[in-house]
Amino acid sequence: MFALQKQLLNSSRLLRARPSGLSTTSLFGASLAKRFLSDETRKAIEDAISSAPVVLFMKGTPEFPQCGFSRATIQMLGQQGVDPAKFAAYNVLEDPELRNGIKEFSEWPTIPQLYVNKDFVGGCDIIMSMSKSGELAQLLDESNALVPEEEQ
Amino acid sequence: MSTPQLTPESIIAKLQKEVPEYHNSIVNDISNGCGQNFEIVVISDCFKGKNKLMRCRTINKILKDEIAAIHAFSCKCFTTEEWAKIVI
Repeated sequence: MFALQKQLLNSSRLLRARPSGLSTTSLFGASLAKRFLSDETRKAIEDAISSAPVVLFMKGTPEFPQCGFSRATIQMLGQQGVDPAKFAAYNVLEDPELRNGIKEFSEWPTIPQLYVNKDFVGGCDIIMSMSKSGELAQLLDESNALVPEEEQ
Repeated sequence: MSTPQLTPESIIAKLQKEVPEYHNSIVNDISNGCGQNFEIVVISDCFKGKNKLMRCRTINKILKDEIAAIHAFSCKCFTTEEWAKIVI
């Protein structure tokens, strides 16, 4: 929590650095309307979660969030000073299979969903309260997901 | 949709019935009329010792069908002790 105050101004960096996150690449080829999580979907989600230390599944892109909760979440991550090089965002609106699959995968009914080092952290409400209490800063710091201080 | 419109009252009734050690809850329809966006606060001592994720999972499970039917919902969970500090 201590050194993190300095990084508060970093939000625009995060937003700019990955204009559309990884969201332009569709995770899946043909979208099949399956009810249950297929092995391929599960594998694709696991790959996505492993693709960066901080992974956000959101509606829209970091630059153009298409939902208030996703917008609030991306702003909080920016304010914490998350290193763009360690961050990936996936746009669930581009992929119905991802949109449904991630809910089942995380056993969580809503989007956005945040993963840090492959662990599910929570949705917007949880991130909001962790951000207020300082827990989010602590988690991101411990996970080495923040912009190094020298670069400030 | 043929599902009946959700109301804050129906959600509160369900929480009252199914949340263990139910103390109180606040449910606001913040959808401006379409009934698709709810803000929920639940106070119960069953949240003691649980982190936020586990707390929300408890509520998500109870309101599984309701959540599936609406567009957006936000959920905050407190123990009676935490709640007492918030509303003084």
